[in-house]
Amino acid sequence: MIKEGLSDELLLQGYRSGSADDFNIIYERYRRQLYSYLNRLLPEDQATADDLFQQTWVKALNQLEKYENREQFLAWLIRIAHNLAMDHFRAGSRRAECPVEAEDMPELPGPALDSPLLQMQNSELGTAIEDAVSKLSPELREVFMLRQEEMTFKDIAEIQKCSINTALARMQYALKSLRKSLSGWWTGKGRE
Amino acid sequence: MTMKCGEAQKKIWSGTDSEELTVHVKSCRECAAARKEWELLKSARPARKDPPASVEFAVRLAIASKAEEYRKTQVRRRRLWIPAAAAAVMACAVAGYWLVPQDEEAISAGGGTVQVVSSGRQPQAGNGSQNGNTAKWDVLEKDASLIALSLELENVTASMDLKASNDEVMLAALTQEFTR
Repeated sequence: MIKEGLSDELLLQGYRSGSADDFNIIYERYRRQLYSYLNRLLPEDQATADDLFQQTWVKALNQLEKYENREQFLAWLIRIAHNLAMDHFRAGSRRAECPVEAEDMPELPGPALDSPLLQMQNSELGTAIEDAVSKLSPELREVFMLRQEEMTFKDIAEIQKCSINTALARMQYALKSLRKSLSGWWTGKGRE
Repeated sequence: MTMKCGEAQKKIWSGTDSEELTVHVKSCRECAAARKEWELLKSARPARKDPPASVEFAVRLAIASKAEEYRKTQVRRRRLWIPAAAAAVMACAVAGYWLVPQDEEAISAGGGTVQVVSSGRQPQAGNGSQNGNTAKWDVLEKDASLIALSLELENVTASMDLKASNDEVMLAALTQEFTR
């Protein structure tokens, strides 16, 4: 289909003039990324992730007039999803841990030269990493996941409503925590 | 080495490559390890899953329903615009008949056409003028009935559009559900 090659901006224009097909293309474009983001943000709560996925799209549809084209549509969607997830955490079903600010960050050592991650080559690596990621606090997990999804630190900072330096500090802290969680693999003890 | 390790690692995580970074990484084992580590972690991203069919159906229904809302808004806008335009045309026509100097004898009401031959003379009182005014009102009445007819036709078309689009949306939603 020719329309599939169109930019988000043009497709949104088409949708605003009443063409549901145009928005369906945008939905196809981003549904997996958004679903994956929510699933990893709420690793043990599939039902809530499903619910928030649906709520994110409905909210995006209702606030489409507020969307400005200078921003990436996916970043905008993820910001809506992030806000909904934070509301969910605040509601008490699962309390977010204290946010890590750049100023609070201790000076961390860099990766060890014999980093366990460099040593791990077995097929369970993905599972081990995913387990370790799920143990991170929501803020750290989110930064790590969004960087895995190739989102820029500028967009991540906007989503988390923090400075770029704070986002970078959270990334540094997430990597340090992952290194620690995965150290058992390197020493041959298996997962901790 | 001009670049510091902290700066180099931020660039590694940001995915911004530069010649300076390449030079630094080649000469710094710590940053080379950091780059390998990040590449490994990035590649370990789990495969993306599809949302459940029921959730997808609900979202697609919301998309179709909002599209329908946009379509209705457009029809409503069109409905407002057409009477406004018609009123403007009427106003211009009335103003034109009364303000432009005309020769009453030159107005022929037959055949539904009006020929105006300007003589620079204003309408005068008397029999001739009364005949002229009657002819003008005949033409205005014809214009008004034509505009009323076109408005009615527009309303019928708009309601047919709405009904057809409602059917389309329902059909599309059902087709998607059955094909899934």
